[in-house]
Amino acid sequence: MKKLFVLLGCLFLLSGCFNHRELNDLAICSGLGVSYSENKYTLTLQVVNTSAFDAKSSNNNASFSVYTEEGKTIFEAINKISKELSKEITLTQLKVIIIDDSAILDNLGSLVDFLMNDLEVSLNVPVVTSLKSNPKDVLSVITPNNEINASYISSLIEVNNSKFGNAYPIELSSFFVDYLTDYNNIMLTNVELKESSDIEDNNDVLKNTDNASTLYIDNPIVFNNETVYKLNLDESIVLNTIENNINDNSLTFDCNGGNFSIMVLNSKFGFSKFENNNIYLNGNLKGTVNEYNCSWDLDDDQTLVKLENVIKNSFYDMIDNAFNKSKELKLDFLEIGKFIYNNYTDEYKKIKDVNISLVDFNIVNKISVDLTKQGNLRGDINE
Amino acid sequence: MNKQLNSTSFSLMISALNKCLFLGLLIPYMFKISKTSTFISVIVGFVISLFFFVMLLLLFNVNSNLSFVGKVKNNFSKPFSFFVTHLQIVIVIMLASMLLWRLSSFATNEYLYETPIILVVLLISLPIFYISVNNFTVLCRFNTLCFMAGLVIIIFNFIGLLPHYDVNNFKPFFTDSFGSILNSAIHYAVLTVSPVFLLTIVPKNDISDCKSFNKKMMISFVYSNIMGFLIFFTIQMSLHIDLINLYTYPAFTALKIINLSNFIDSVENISSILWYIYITLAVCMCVIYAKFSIKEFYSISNNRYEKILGIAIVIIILLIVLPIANMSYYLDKISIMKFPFYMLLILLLSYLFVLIISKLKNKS
Repeated sequence: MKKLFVLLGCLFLLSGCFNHRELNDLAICSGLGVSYSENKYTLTLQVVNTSAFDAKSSNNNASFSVYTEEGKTIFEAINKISKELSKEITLTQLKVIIIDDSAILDNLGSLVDFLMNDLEVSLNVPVVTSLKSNPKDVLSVITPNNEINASYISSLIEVNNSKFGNAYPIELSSFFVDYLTDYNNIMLTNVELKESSDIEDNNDVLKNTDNASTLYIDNPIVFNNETVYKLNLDESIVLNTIENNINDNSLTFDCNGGNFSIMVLNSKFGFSKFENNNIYLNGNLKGTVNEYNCSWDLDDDQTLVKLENVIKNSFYDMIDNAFNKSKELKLDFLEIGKFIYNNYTDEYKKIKDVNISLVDFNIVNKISVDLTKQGNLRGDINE
Repeated sequence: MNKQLNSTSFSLMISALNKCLFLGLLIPYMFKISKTSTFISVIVGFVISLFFFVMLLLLFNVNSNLSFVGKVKNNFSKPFSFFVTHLQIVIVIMLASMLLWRLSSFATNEYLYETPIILVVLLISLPIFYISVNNFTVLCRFNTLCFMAGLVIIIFNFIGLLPHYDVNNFKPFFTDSFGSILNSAIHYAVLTVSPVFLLTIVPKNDISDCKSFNKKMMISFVYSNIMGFLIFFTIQMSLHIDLINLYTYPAFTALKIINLSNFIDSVENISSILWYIYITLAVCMCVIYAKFSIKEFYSISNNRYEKILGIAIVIIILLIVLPIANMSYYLDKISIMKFPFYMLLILLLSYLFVLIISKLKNKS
């Protein structure tokens, strides 16, 4: 009996090689780009060129290749690329998904359906868009040090998010939620190509690139059913502030005849209540002065208070402007609808379309600012 | 039965039996019914299941030298004991078939989609074949080994998903109706506590240290439910409710987002071993239960017959599972949940009925 079991065991365990996939037979995709026009999807796949990483070979091949095909469905387009490559395409190692505004506005349902059904795509992949460029152009850029373009975009988002507040990182799972819920607008980080005139001004960038373009992160894009709006830097900072996403960011403010920069050490913002059509926003921001070029004497105890007031007033202005813009465009990029739905569901149900009713809302700010440090110096160097 | 059993290894069986119906059944059902209030349903369900669990402990104390079948034979007429025993055997075989079906369709849907389902079912059945021809002690040893693995996996998953936790996923609070919360809680109670009653196949006196039996059983039951709560909590903290309700296996989908320091990711296939452990153990328990019930009812003492009986039961389960193995996506038809629920409710009521009658008879 035992022998029979051992034999049976061998039979079934050895069948683990059933439908095995050799690494060399796979086309490992690092980036996926989708656009939609004339009832057809244009799919761009960035495939890792594994031979470029082979230590034995001394070739200077690019680290990736880019393939583009059209199809009535995304799957059809993938199959066309697979045919071209004579390899099976795998999306397990995707580092970025770029969705063109055409695909978001015209036929997002099919794309979401494809991504949800694909068992290989990780839910952690960053999803971005490109307003001025198409996904193919973005994914084709050769990056400094011949790094894989998709990984480079991923790092760009991370750096811009942690230092400048102009990125709005969204992972695939959050993108799905934005699509599924009616109180959320889809908001994506905007990856753009620099114009060639911009690049000529910066020769350093050209040293390591073979291509006359380079990538940068522009302000986030917010989508409604018909509208596409690019936030300005202040609106982007307000959005990231409300999302508590600006720690370590550097912010610059105008002061008495000059300006100063702070680094945000800790920021806690959030809507606190919704009452009589008023949205209450509370927040506290702690920071340190990194650079100071104002006429006030920094040795004076009152100067920090003055600077705190400057920051506070700037934030009041930025939040009010962003809120008014949101009302004007009927685009809920401050995610007020989400707050009302989560905390005042009954009231949300009464409001059929929160974006429209935003017009009636007011925002009430209560912000405190603590500048806890004056940087490394004991006092004002300009004294 | 063997007297090598101790109450610790015996009580640890609760951990696997308690959670065997989670994957692809209880988890998606509860999230679909009670939505963001699911964690409340789990707590209410635990309180309800506690009542049934106390009944289980009382059942162990009635004629503690006899197994459940022995108790039935002892306290009821032959036709009635025949009916109860065989009804239970049928239900237990159906339960095992359902578990094996869920596990094989999970494997096919999530990663072995190119492998023929027959091969998947047979592969999963191999350890079941091995354990089923042996006795309950072997199952307990296997379970004790797996218990630590299960604990480590649950804690790893809990920590791995920490960066993705979002309290907003619990919102809006208390917006679901009381009826849906209670419906979900009753399902939780019935589907988690009924498989634990299968342990009654072992007479309490066969356990070496039965003085601490009740205490250890209670600790194990509470621990198992805390782990169950942790599983629900982790899923809800890491995925939005609308996303959870789209997937047949949200427990698996949640594991897909684990990414520790950009270094440890794509660990869902390893972490999902947890469900293989729990379901395999529960199927083995079902087979052993059916085997010992038949053995005891018909007073079979030959060891060879016992082994043949074990193999025959596994083959019957396979014959039920193989034709339905391809029917994988069903949860949208929520009425299908009625089948396991009512089936296990009948099983549970049969135990409670036997308990009450036996108590009354013993008193008189």
